[in-house]
Amino acid sequence: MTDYRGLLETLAKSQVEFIIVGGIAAAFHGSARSTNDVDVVYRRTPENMRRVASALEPIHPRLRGAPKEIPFLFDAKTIQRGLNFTLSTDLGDIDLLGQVTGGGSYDDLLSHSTVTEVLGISCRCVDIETLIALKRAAGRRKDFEAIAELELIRDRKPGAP
Amino acid sequence: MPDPGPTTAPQASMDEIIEDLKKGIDVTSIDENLKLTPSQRFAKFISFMTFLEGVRKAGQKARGEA
Repeated sequence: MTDYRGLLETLAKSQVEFIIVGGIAAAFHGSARSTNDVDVVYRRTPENMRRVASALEPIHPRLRGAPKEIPFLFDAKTIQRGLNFTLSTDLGDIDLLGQVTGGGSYDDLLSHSTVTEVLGISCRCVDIETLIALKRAAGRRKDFEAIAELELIRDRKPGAP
Repeated sequence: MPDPGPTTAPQASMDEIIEDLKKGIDVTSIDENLKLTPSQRFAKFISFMTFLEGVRKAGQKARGEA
């Protein structure tokens, strides 16, 4: 099983700048749905890409689903050359996104996120309105139920109109 | 001869599907979650995923796959 807390702690300990999106963000906002991976949008500055690479190195990141014999070096150069990575690690699966459909980059999402303490880890999480917009922009049928639930959560939150 | 138009029923829009799905969602669990702090929600999520993993492993064992 994915060590959700462990993955977030790994990034946070190395002071990686990232914003939680996807199913974990949905759980943060009150969703009762399950998810198998951690989705984060990371900041694409040279310093932060170095932090991402060194944070994940001890937990052996590899391309999810790729044959083991295919060599894969996940360093700052690899991150620089790529953008979005679907990885498996010793702690479980993580999607590292340089850009997300409908939301753009880390810097675009920054003002639509808040810092919060999750099980003792300080993390930045996208707000519910933006999370809904991201899922709507992705337009995947499998997300429709998640969108329905998130919109109900938004409308039932105290203070909702 | 007039165009008979599309021969299949029009597809429901994303909004229509989402609105329809909302009718099947148990809002009591949403309200329960909204009473919790983000940390408590995350702890509950991890507990739920751990439970699911336990059930999955038990199923594999029962099927002789473990």
